[in-house]
Amino acid sequence: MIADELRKIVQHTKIPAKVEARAKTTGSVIGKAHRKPEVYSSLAAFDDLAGARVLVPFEADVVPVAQELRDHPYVVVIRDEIKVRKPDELSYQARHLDLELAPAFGLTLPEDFGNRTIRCEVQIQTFAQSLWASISHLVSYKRDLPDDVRSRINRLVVLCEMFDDEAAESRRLAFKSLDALGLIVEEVQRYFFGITGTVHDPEQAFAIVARLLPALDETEQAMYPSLLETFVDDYGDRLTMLLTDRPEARELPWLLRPEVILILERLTRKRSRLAHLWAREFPQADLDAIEAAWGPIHSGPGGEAVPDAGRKAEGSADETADPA
Amino acid sequence: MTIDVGLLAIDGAVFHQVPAGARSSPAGDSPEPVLSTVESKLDGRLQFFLRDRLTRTFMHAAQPIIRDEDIQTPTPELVRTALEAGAEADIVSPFHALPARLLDVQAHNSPRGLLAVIRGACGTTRVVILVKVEQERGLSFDTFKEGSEVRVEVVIEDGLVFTDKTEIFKAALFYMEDAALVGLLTDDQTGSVYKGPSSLFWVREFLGCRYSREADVMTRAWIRATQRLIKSDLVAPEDKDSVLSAMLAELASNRTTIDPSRFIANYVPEAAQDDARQRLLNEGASATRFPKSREVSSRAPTRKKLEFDTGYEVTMPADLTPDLGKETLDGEELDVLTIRGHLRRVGA
Repeated sequence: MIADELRKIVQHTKIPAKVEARAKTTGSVIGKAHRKPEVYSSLAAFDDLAGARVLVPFEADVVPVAQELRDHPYVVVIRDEIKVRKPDELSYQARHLDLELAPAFGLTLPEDFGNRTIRCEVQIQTFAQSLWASISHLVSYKRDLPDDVRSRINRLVVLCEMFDDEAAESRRLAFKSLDALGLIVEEVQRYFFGITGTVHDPEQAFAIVARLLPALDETEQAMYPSLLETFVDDYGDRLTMLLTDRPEARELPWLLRPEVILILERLTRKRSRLAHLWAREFPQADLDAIEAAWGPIHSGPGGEAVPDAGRKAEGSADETADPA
Repeated sequence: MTIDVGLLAIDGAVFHQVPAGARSSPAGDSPEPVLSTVESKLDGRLQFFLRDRLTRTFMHAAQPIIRDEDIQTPTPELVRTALEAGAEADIVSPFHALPARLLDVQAHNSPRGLLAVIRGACGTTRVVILVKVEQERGLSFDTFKEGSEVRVEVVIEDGLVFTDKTEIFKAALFYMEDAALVGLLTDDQTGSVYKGPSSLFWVREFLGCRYSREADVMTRAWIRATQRLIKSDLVAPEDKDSVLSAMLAELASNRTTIDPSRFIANYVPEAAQDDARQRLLNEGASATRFPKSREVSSRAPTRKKLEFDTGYEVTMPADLTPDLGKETLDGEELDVLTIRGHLRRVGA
């Protein structure tokens, strides 16, 4: 029941978290009441009847989940503790929240609870931290271990930390490319609309541009709007002619799609990079046909050589010496 | 090149059948061309097919040409008149002299084909294009007769995709620049034009033109561009050695042309290929096939020097590509250069 309620809260964060909850066992409750009858005279006296774990994919997800719990109107935070492993000890990392769940939280409480709240401890961990905690608990909980075993468990800690770091970095890079993707799709659609007056399904555009993205290096991805602007400035006449003069008559569907602007820009500036990528992703005949429709790119409009954006500095003067 | 061929739009075309052989054929059968008396019914599909084949052809091989006043042939004046007439130029009957001229000058073993006269524009610049398409280049054609009208038409086969065979190997695009007739030419015999007059028929005897850039200028520009690539863009010494060897081998070979694009594709590491194209542009070198200057090539270095960070230098024939590796001896990492073969002679 608590797990269901916690899941609803965590869902608001859009984080694909996994929620686990357990109630204190009957035997444990009876044992505690038997040992300290003066304190635990009723169920309401127990502040740890429920425990829950929220497992998140990335370390960065811990904070938003905790915040969502703290912000919930029927939750009172009694304690909020960030457990960080000390370098010289074997302990798990997690964020611990001791919560008081109000009756309005949606729980069905026993009659003797009256209007009182129920206490619950929530641990928020990454999957990797949880994995390590589970393993180390099985191996070492409440035992004195020899140094070589402790060393092995420490290695597991390092592995889990590396896992989290790699996961975070992977996500960072993925988001970075996702941002570039969105930016490029938006830009090519904008120019395509400006030239043809037609709008296309952005989802399809995303899928195709994602496959073409490796044709741009990271710097080019970041500065693509300006690269595209100069390209359209230089080749506006060609683009207009190609994309508006009966493009359907060529029987080349690429000319009817906004992504063709990205393809033409790459053909003009980084033909080899595009061609090598294309060979893995799309039929070669399509690129040949697009290239033929686009025309020679030995020179720019007006016959002048087209300077490459971001071109590296020229070599020293002696490099121009004619060997012949 | 002072025209943007990417802006080419075709407005009209006339096709004439040109039989195999030449009018002066020793067989004495005096072949005659089949002349169209009207323009082609150019539908959108054919229009773009021709246009894209032409641009593809100019993409791979195009060199600027200019009128050669010393040559007597009707082509330049016909083209000039058509260009001056603008968009409504008559490219049918005035050009009937051209298929006959082609038969007069082409080689005895020339295959059957079409001579196309095309009018159009590259942006705001009017152009006239003359194309000779040989039948085996993947093109079909039919002749239609309606009353007194004769019309030769190109037939596009369904499913035809772009391949090397769909390039047109003899084409010339003319336009006016400062009242002078200039153009771009592509010819699969480009390299031969410097060998002797027998293979000059397309550019000289038929078109009445000559190349505006000399072979030695183009060859030097290509060498400069490749040198800059080697010195500035390639990082690994092995890559530098490999491209330098390829460049020297290209110059030393018996081939009469150099194709910079093919050279880049074949010998330049993938990561540097775009740099190589940019170097061609920066040096004003041709990106398409051009005639190789024998004079320039003959003066290219025949030996190369490898320098090691230990200070040792090894000089060897330029076309020799040694195996370079590393070995550790007494804890010290050494560069190892392996040259295959047995010692034959020792000289000082």
